[in-house]
Amino acid sequence: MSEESKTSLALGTLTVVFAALAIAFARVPAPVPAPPRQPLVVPANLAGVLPPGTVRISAAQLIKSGGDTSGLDCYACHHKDQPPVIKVEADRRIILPKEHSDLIFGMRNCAECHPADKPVKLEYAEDGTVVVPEAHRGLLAMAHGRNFRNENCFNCHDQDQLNQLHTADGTKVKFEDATLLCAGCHGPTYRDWEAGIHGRTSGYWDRSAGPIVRQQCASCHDPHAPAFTGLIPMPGPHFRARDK
Amino acid sequence: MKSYLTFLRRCFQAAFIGDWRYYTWLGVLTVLCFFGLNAYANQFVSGLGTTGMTDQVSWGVYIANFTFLVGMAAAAVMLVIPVHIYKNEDLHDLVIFGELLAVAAILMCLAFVTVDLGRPDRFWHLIPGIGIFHFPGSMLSWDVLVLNGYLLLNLHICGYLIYCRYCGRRPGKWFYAPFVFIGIGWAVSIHTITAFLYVGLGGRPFWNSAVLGPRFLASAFTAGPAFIILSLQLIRRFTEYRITDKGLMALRSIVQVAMLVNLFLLVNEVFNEFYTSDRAAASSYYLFLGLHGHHALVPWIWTAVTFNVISAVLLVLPVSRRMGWLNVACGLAVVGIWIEKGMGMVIPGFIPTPLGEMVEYTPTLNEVLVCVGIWAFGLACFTVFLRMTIPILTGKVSSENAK
Amino acid sequence: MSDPSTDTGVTRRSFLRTSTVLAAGAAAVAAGIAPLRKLGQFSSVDEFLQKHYKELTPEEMKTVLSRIETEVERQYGIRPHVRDYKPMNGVEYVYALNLTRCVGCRKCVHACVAENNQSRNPEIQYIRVLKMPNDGTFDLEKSDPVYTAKAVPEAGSFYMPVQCHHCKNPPCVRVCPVKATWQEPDGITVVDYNWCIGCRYCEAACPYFARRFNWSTPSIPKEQMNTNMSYLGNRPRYKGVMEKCHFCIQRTRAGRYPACLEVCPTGSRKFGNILDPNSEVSYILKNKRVLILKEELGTLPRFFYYFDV
Repeated sequence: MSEESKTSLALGTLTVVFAALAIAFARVPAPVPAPPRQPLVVPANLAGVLPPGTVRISAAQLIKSGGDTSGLDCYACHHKDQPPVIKVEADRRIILPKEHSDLIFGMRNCAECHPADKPVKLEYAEDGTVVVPEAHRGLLAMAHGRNFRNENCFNCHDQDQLNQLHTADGTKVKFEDATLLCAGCHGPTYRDWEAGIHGRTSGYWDRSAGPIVRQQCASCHDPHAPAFTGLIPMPGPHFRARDK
Repeated sequence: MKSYLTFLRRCFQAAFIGDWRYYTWLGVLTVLCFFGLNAYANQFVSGLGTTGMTDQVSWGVYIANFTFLVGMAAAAVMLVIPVHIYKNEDLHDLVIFGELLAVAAILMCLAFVTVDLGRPDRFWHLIPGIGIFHFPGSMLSWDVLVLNGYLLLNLHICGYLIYCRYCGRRPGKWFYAPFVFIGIGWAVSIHTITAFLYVGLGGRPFWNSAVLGPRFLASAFTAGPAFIILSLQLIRRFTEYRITDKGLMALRSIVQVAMLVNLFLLVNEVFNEFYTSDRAAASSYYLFLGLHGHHALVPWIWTAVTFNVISAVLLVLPVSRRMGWLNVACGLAVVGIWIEKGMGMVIPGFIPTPLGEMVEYTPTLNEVLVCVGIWAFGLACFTVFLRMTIPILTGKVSSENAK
Repeated sequence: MSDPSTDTGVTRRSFLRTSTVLAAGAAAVAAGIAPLRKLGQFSSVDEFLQKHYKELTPEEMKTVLSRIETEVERQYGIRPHVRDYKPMNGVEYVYALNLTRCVGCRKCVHACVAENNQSRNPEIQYIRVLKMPNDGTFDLEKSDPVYTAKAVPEAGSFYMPVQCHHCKNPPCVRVCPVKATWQEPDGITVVDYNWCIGCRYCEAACPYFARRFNWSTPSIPKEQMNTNMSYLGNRPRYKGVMEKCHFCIQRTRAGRYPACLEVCPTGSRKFGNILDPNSEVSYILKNKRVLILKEELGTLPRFFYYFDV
């Protein structure tokens, strides 16, 4: 083959390849948009996030805000001049009266776990009793402090004036001022709280623009079991996790 | 003036005319270019999500190739210095090839940077005067300046030199020599500044090492001349341009020394990382040994080290005075350094992330196609430059036979 | 290689051949770039020519803001209110996070996503919560960002959320080649999403993994869109630009607390004006033990970790 015909062959082949390429490019379907790198965060998971979800409505706040306090009337059951008797177990643990369970308004925002569109379904054990979900356990426990020396109702509640509290030195404290009672034992924490660095805040950092919203101790801490129970973590980032 | 236009026209014509080998070679490169173009069009529409890059490893094979090619461009200076400072006669006629390679390499660099941009349409923000140029604060702005400056400098030097050859006169003193000497400093600066891009990041201990700049230069001065040797062998084979063995041997000794220095600096770096063995060495562990069960780069870096060592041994032994062995040594050096300095330098800097996450990186097909396209484009440019230049150098095309 | 200039006949023939190849090649190029048809409304002329944030006059800014409102409405089907919130005099923001209190519930992460219109897919989150072993090593390589648990905190671990530290000496700002990211007078490091060229140099420079890139067009469900938007803050971002925590500029410059702070169930997050000696953050820096992450890098963060004593 001469140089000349080799050249023609090379160019002819090239023309064909180019044409084929043109057809191939034109026929290849529209570029598929980049495949999702990660699955979406399920939007329902965001439901519990905003508005913020863990502040309880404490008895103190209820009173302060002028809410319905009819359920708090101690003397609907108790007699005013007959101080209640505390029942104690053999190991000196106090037996909490069942009737007081509804005084505690719950640590969590119900909607956090129970969105409005997801009705609660009860589960029953074999003996027919309702199974208390893990998340609901411990709400009524008396667990204030590392030992149970503090498990005496009347360390804080006034034995004679049930709609009041009292500090260790006997000073009467109203329910709505319960934070002062907490301060009696938790001095450093109270100092931090006063400075605004303990506990939740919301609203305005710029006080000239609007108020700061502070929470009382009992808004977040259950006075009967102040330590935080575990929270269910929200979903983490979706990338190829390290396989350790 | 008229003669200059004729010169340009004839150069342009020459690019489209050749024998069947030329057409086949250029045709293959063009086909690869088209694949790259198509892949880039996909990326342009869908975003950089078409690549394997992530927030964790935010630079990939584009920047790796960019870094390597800046070195290739800078390597021309390894021919310029012997010729213009030490008056080396053997290399005198070969300088032009180094500079043509530099032009092609810079074009590839610019292409690699452009495809790496998330918003190439906002490229004008980078143009001093029109956009806002963060100079001298950002090393990237320095890089934009020196790369484009180097491109212009080399275009001028090559163009002027070839035009003078075409006209059959000696290059004018003031039009040539000053630019050559500026070019020497400039070539060193492009690669040093590219190293500073990485060195300047305090949050990335793998890069934040003073020896990175010297390593960049040493590896560039190995891979560049090695690549030039390989291309000269091809020129010798396929064109009537005569290249002396002495010239190639002079280049061999350059590659030889640079490769030894390169390996020496690598040893320094490796010692520093592994002997102190602090937390900052995590990336080095990942690169050389694997970390927390991740070792995607380990086979690559050991391949690179093996290639470089074999190449160094061959270059030191007299056996590489034979052309076949010289080609093998140069080929190994180019590939070894491409791995070591591209993926082996860029990727480990991101792994683990500053917060200790281990996310590995693998380029996607689309990304690889874009890279192949740019390489093909660069090689096509280099081929076309040679096609234009060689007939002028051999005297076949000159102002004498302009009619 | 044969020299071309000798024979006219050969030249003509080769010219014809060359033209055929070129025509086929042009067809291949045209077909090759065909995907660009899918580009749609990529960039309007006004958007393309828009000046840098700092060079816009108030009138131009007005036009830009209303153009952006239209763009967002077209893309997401909901008309937002986009404002350009300006820094206040005598204010420098500082953030403090209590490592003793943080339980790692990640509410901050998701509140941030919701408030700041971050892309849901691909997923972009400004805050990374690291679960760290309580073994005294403080080794970030031992951290786990993808932990799952029935309940947090887990025994033997502490949790460290990391987000933009709004450094006084920010490496990200230093490296940007087009000044698309800068520090505002109140200390917030912001990004002009209309000026960023997407080179991701800042992402490589940040020692806190605080910057995120839009690898593809962000997607945000219309009904989850926060329509109170700011130019430098939470307006939807474009494909191919960087974004990052901006201390909820649309909230904080209106005097409010950032979303991550408000949502924190344990009150671990504190924010305020460090120039005000009575602010919470001033109290913390005066009275608490403080940890600066990667202090040795000299970035001088405005983000502090502190501990309860």
